[in-house]
Amino acid sequence: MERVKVVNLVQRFGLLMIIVIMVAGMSIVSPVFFTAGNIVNVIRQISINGILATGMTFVILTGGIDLSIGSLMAVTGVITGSLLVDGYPTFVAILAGVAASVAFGFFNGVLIAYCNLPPFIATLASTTIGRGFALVYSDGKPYTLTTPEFLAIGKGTSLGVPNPIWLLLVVVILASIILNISKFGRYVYAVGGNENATKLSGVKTRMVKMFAYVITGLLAGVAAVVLAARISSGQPTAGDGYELDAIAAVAIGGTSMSGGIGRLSGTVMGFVIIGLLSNSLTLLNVSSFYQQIVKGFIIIIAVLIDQRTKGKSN
Amino acid sequence: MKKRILALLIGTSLLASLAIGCNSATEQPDTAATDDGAAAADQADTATDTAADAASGGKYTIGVLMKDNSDTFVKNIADAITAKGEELKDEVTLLMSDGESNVEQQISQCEAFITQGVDAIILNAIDAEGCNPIVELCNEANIPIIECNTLTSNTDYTCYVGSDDVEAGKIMGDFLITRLADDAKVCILEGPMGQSGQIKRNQGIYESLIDKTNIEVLQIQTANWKRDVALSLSEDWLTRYPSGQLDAIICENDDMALGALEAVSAAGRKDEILIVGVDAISDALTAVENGGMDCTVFQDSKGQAEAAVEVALQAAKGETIDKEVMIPFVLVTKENVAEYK
Amino acid sequence: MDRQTYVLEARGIDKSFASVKVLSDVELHLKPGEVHALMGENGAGKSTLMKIIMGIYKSDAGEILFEGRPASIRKTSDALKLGIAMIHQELSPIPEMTVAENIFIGRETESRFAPFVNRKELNRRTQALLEAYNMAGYIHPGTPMKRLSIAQTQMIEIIKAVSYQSKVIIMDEPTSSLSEKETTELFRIIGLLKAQQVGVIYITHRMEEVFTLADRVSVFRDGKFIACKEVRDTGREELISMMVGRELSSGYPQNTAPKGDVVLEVRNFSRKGVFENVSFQVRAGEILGLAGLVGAGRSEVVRALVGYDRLEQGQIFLEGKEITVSHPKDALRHNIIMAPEDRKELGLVLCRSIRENITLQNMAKLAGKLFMKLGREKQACGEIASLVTIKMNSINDQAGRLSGGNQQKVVLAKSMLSGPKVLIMDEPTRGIDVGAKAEIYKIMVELAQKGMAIIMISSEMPELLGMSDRVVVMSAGRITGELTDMTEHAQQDILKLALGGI
Repeated sequence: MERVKVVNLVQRFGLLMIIVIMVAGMSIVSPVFFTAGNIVNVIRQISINGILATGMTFVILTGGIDLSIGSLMAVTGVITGSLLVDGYPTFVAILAGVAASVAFGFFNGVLIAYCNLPPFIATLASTTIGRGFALVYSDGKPYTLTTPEFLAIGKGTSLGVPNPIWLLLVVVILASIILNISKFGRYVYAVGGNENATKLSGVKTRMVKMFAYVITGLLAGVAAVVLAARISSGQPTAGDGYELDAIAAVAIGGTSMSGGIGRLSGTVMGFVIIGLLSNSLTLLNVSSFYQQIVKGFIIIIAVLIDQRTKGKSN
Repeated sequence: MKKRILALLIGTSLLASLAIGCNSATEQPDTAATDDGAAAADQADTATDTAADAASGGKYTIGVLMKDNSDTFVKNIADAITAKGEELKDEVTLLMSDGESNVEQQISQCEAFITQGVDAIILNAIDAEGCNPIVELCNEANIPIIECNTLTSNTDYTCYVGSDDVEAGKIMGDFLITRLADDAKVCILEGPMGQSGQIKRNQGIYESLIDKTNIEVLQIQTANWKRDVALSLSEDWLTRYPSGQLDAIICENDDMALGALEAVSAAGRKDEILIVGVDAISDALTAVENGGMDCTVFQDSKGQAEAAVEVALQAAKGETIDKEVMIPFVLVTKENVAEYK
Repeated sequence: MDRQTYVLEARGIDKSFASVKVLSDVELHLKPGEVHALMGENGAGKSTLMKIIMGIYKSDAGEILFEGRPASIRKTSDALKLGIAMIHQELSPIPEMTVAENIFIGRETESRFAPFVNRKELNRRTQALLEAYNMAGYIHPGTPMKRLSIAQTQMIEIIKAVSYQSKVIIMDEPTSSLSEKETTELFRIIGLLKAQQVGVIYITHRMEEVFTLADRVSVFRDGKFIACKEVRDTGREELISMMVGRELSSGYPQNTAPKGDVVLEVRNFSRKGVFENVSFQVRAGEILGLAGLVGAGRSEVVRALVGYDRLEQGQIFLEGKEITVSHPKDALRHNIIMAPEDRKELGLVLCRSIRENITLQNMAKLAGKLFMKLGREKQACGEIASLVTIKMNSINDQAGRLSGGNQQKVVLAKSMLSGPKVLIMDEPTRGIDVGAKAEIYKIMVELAQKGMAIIMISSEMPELLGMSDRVVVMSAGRITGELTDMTEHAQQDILKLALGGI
C-alpha cells in the first residue's frame, strides 16, 4: 500500500517536485534567489513564453504544431510599432497588430485544416512569410516606442504586480477554462485523440483544428505586445526562436506530441521550469552556452520522468 | 466549391497584407534608402540587375555582400552604399545581397557574383573565420575584394575599409577608466561569439580598461546583439549583484545597451551604474542625451560605406590602392550628442 | 496427470495491474496435438494469461513449464525461440510492408552470410506458404498489407504464426473476421497442426467452434480458473453457466414489436467502384439485417448514409421527407446514429475517458452553447454506462484500457444516448463474450420495441438469422436479394445471395 501511494504521488506531482527541488536548491546556493525582487523578475520574464506556450498547448493537443509564432510576434511588433509612432491611439495600434497575427493564424489554420497541409510544413512556410513581411513592412528597421500607456503594459504594475504577470494570469485562466469546461475544449482533446472517431460523432473537426491556430496567432500577438512594451521597440527581428521555448514548455508539461493527451497545468510547470533554469544559471554565473546544454538535458529528463510516471500506472 | 472560396480568401488576405506592407507610410529614422524598390531589391538574395549593364560600355559592376540587413547598423551601411551607387550611377552598377547571418549563404552569394562576372566585391563578413573562403574565392578569380566594417582572419583581401573595432572598445575603456574606481565591478555584454566585432571590441575593452586596473569583471555573457536577451540578463545580474556591487555594464553594441538600460532604470539604479555601448543608433543617441546611456561610440557607417564603394571602383579600374582605409570612431557623450542626431 | 505429457503448462499464476488483481492462481495445461479451447467472459483474464506466456507481461507469481521444464520467458523472442507463437485478437500489421516482409519480420535472414535482406528468397518462401494454405490465388508475397481486407489480414497472421514451426500456437478469436470459407480453411490448417503434434490454445466465444474443434476446454471467470473438461463430457449449458456463474437462457430474444411505418428509405445509393444502386427501407420497430461477405460494401453504404464517407448519387428519406446528409453532424441532427465496425478507428477516442467518449456525440444534451453541463454529464453518462453494464472502475477510466467487449459497450452507450430514430450497428457483437452478447441482443430488442428502426450488419449467420426481422443481402456493391421469412433454408439462401448468385 505504501509503495502504491508514493508511485501515485510521483505520477501526479512529478513536475511539481522538480520545481520544488530547483527552488529549494537555488535558495540554499544563492542568497538572492528567493527574494521578492527575483521571484517577480522570473515570473515577469516567463510571461512572454508563458503566453506563447499556452497557445501552443491548444495546437499540440490537436496533434499539430505551430512553428510560426516567433515571426508572428515580429509582424505584430512592427504593425503596432508603426501605428504608435504615427500617433494612433494605443488601443488602435494594439488592435491592428494583434488582428494581423490573428489573420496569420487563420491563414495557418486554413492551410492545415482545409487544405490538409502537414502542420510542420505549413507553419514552417508561414514563418518565412511572416518574417519577410515584417522586414518589408518596416524596411528592416525597428520602431522606437515612447507612448507611456503602451510601455506601461510591459513595464508598469497594477496593484503592485507587474502587468505582464497579470496578462499571463488572465491568459492562463481563460485558456484553462476553455480547455477544461468548454465544448470547444473537449473537441480539441477529441480531435487530437482520434480525428476520425470525432468526425463520426458529428463534430466539425476541421473547424476545431483551424480555431486552434487562430488561438496561437492571437496569443502570439498578445505576447508581442508585451515584448515590445518591455524593450520599448517594435522590432522586425523580434521573437526569433521563441517557438522553441514554447514547444519545450508544452513538451516538458507532459502533453503528447501526437495530441489528445495533456494538461495546461503541465505547460505552466513547463515554462516555469524553463524560466527558473535560465534565472538560476545566470545567478550562478554559468555561461550562456552551458545554459543551452543544460536546458536541453532538462527537457529530456523532464519528458522521461513524465513518460515513466505515466507508464507506471499501466 | 468550398476549397475554391478558401483559396480565394487566402489569396486575398495575402495580397492585402502585401499591399499594407508596401504602402507603409511611416517615416523611418535613420533611413538612407532612396526608394522602396531599391530596398526591396536589397533584401533579395541575388540581384535582378543583369550583366546587360556591365556590358554597356564603361560601367563597372560591384557585388556587395551584406552581413544581415535586419540589423539596424548593417542596414545603415547597406543604404549608404546604395545611395553612393546612385550618386556614381554612370560608372557603377551595384548588385546587393543579404547574407542573413548565414555563412553558407554568404559564400553562395559570392560564388553567384563571381559567375556573373563582377568587377569587384565588397564584403561585410558575417564571421571572422567562416568567411575566409570568400577571400580565397575572390583571389582565385582575380576579383578585387574590399572588406567593409567587419574583418576576416584571412588578410589577403585587397583593402579593408572600416573602423577598427579595437578602437571602439578602447574608446569605451578610456571613457570609463576616469569614471570608475580602480577596484570597480563591471559586467560585459558581448555580441555573437566569433564575429570580428565581438573579438575586437572585447580586445579593446580589456586592453584599455580591465588589464590596466584592478577592475573585476563579474560576468561576461553574450546577448547576441539583441535587446531582449540583454534585458533579461541584466535583470538577473541586478538581482545577483545588489546595490553597491555593480558599477557598470559595458555593452559591445547599442541595442544591448538599451536592453540593459531598461533593466537598470526599472530597478532605479541608474545613478550607480554606468552604461556604455557602440554604434550611436538613434535610440542610443536619445538615451545619451537624456542621461540614460553614459556614452556611445559613433561608427561612421556612411563614411565606411562611401569609402568602400569608392575604393572598390578604383580597384575595379585597376588603380593601386592602400591596404586599409580606416575611418575613425568617435566618442559620443552628452556634450557632443547634438551633432550626431 | 504425468507432467511429462504436457507441452505447455501454467500453474499458480497471479497478476495485478496497480491494485486490480486480474489473475488469481490460474492454471492451464496443454497436451501436444491437442486443441484446447479457452473460454470466459470478456475481462476473465484469458488474453492476460496469453500475454504472460508470450512474455509481454510478467506474472507476479506462479510458473510456466515448457515440455516439462521451467521456462523463463522475459520477452516475446524468448517465447518464439522456445516454440510458442500467437495470433492476436486485435490485429496490428504494418500496413506499408508487403505480405512477405510481414510474415518474416524479425527473421528476414537466417543465414549468417547474408546481412542484406534477400527479397527473392523471402518471396519464394512466402509463396510456398501461401500455396500450402490455399491463399495463393488472391494474395501475392509482394502485396502491401494495407491492400488486404480484414479477413485476409487475419489469414496472414495465422500463416505467420504457423510458419514459426512452433510447438504451441495460441489463437485468440481467429475467426472473428473470417468468412465461412476462410473459417473452413483455418480448421483444415488446425487439423494439419494436430497431426504434427502441435498444441493449439484456442480462445473463442463461439460455442459451435468449441464443439467442432476442441478436445478439451478450460473456463476462466473473473480472473480465476474454474474448470477444465473434456469436450465430449460437457455441453453448452454447462459451459455457459461456468463462464457466467449463473443460468442463462439460450437463444435470441424475440422482437414482438409491431412494425410501424417506414422510417428510413435509402434510394439508389451509388459511389463509383464501391457500391451501386443500393436501395432499401427500414420500418419503426424493425431489425433489418444487412448480410454479405466481407468486402461487399455494407459498411461503406452505411458510412455514406451517416455522412462520414462521400455519396456520389442517391437520396435519403427520413419519415417520408427527403434530407441531405453531408457530414455526420447532419445525420446526428436527424437522429440517424451509427455504431461503427472498427471501434478503435472510428468508434472511440481511446486516449480519453469513457465519459468524454459518450459525451462527444451528445453535446446537444450535455452542454450549453459554450460550456459543458458537468453535473448533467456525470449523471447521464453514469446511467447509460450501467444500463449497458460496462465493467469499469468509473466513467473517468480511460477508454483504451477497457477490454474489447467493454469498449463496444461504450460505443453502444454513446449511440443510445443520442436517442436514435434509426440505429445502425455494424458488427455489434464482434469480439464480445456470450454473456455480453446476450445483454446486447436484449437491449436491441428493447429499443426496437420502443419504436426504433435498427439496421444490423453482421457476418455471424446465427446472429443474423436469430435477430433480424428481415434480411437484405449485398454482394460486390449491389443488393442481390431480400428475405422476409427466416425459414429453414434461409441460411443457404443468404449465402447464395451473398456470393452473387440467385
